[in-house]
Amino acid sequence: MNPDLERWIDEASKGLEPLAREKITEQITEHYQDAVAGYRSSGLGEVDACSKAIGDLGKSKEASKRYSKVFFTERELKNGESRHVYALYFFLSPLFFSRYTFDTFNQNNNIIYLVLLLCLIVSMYLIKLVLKGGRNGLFYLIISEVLLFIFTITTIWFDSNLIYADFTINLWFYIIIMIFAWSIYDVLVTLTKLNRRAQALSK
Amino acid sequence: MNLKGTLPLLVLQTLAQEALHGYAIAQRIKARSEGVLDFKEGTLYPTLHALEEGGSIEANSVVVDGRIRHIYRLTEKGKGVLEAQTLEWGRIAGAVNSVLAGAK
Repeated sequence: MNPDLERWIDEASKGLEPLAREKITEQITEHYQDAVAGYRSSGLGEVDACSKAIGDLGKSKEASKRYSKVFFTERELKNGESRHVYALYFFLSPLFFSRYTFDTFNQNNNIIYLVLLLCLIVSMYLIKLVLKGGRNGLFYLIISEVLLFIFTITTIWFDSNLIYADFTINLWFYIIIMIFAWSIYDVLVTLTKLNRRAQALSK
Repeated sequence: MNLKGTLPLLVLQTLAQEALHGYAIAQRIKARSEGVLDFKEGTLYPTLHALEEGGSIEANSVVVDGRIRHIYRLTEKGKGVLEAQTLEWGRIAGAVNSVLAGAK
């Protein structure tokens, strides 16, 4: 790759998540090759054609500003994922330490055991995948949220009276609902982030 | 001339005529405006990505002469967006023209 082009791409995609950098490299390289071919066919020499093709791209810092509005930065991606891991942790912990959960276990209901076990295994696996990052991170997060929702609904479904049993249970239930609502909100924010940025850019 | 904020509209209008790859879109806009509407080509791709995310355009990869090319085309949603933005642009241009005419 032309060193000037490489520098331009590096600066324009600085700080962005790896997949965005990959996409930008692909697009700009394709564009650059077309531009060089265009200038060459109009009679320019190789050096001049390359130089003009780079010049046509404009300032890499300006492009970088625009790219950061439509792509996630590495930092944003990491923060988003961390928030979810914390959300999952806070969501799960009250369930396992509350009397509500212990009481549910005391009922010897095999379906609850099974759902709880499945949700636990899959959630732990998903958390591991989310921590690794990558292109399917958001998908795993959504799946984990759905699983947690199924778990909550299943446990409440089998004994809704437990929710009203005493103050401790009410308190835990309130906390669970609040954290669950916050988790859903967090997913929605993440989902709409790129779309909102895209709209802002096109205005 | 750099008309900030008009690039998405210009891209949509260009793609309304035919599906094109990035470089061709840039060249088409410059040629149609006879070089008046000049823009830095590096800013085209964030705009294309934004339009793609918004569902106004879609990109397909095709192999042309042994090279993978990303061809952009207008979607049905994009046609609606183009129509709305064209109307809005006409309204603004008309208003600016009215003010300028009054100044003469």
